[in-house]
Amino acid sequence: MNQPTDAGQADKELIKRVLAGDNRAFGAIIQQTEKLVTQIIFQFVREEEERKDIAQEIYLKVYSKLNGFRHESKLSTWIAQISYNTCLDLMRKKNRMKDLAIILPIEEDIDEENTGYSRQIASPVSVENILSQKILSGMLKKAIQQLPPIYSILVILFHQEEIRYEEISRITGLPLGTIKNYLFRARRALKEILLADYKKEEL
Amino acid sequence: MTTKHLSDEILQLLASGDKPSEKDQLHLHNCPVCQDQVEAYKLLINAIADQPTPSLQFDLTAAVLEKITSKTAPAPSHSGILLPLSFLVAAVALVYVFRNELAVLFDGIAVMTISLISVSVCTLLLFFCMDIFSTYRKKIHDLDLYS
Repeated sequence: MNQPTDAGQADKELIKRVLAGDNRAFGAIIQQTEKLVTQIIFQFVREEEERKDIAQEIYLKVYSKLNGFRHESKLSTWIAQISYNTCLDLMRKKNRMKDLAIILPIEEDIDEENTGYSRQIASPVSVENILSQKILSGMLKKAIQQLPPIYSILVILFHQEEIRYEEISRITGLPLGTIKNYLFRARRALKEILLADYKKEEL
Repeated sequence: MTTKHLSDEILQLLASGDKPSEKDQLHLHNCPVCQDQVEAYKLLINAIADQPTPSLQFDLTAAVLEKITSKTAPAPSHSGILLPLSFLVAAVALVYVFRNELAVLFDGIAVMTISLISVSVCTLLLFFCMDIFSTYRKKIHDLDLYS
């Protein structure tokens, strides 16, 4: 299994070149990680101009700290961590921290702990009909935006960027158990939002 | 009679591809409601993965590289001349002010020796100043990038 080692080696080469003064190498780093950074920014920041500013701020921070990168994680994970923390700092400055930690209400009635069974009765309408691919795609973007930023970030990082739990833990600083818990809640919330929105449209 | 179903957590794990326990497998086989829920989660997970990735609508690489290049650009040439010139003026002024004391100090020492001592001291001081200036510029550059 040489791929992770090859990727790590490629990262080391790029960093070496950047530290030697090759700015094109830093351009390559930006292009490789821009998609992931953009995903994170979009979950925190809604305004277009602010997104551009914070994206540049993130990479300037990466450039200034590159000398201190210890290769304890992948370069992309480290950059994603800087992105996440920079966005959090922005939220703090704008006094939006209260929005970050909203926990959605859990209405599920659990019979006993850890039995795996519940009294939850699904909507009588066939869920599959409601969540047909065409309808779902259009409504999903709006539904994800309704989630608190932490939930939407976890959903995007895990399902769209296909990042493992351990890496997400490094990026966000959240424990593994919390990440799994939040992901469960986020997916359930998304399903409920989509069902509620669909029913509204039907009416 | 209440209907017991699989918990949401287990439904999601099943939709993600986890292998169910025998008990859960049996329930799933006989419960269309839970089957429906698992399918819904599968659709949801696939739809999230298929969502288009957002874009910043501008050339981020060019913007960042321009900022980096402008901050690391060499200092204008006049700052490279001013410092040694100031140093020279200060040295000449000191020699003029203390010329009598210097004459007494160096009385009896050959002119050649005095010249050698002067050049060595000046050269050492020059390199010392250049090193301090270079360290100062690097620190300013780091502060600029981080601010």
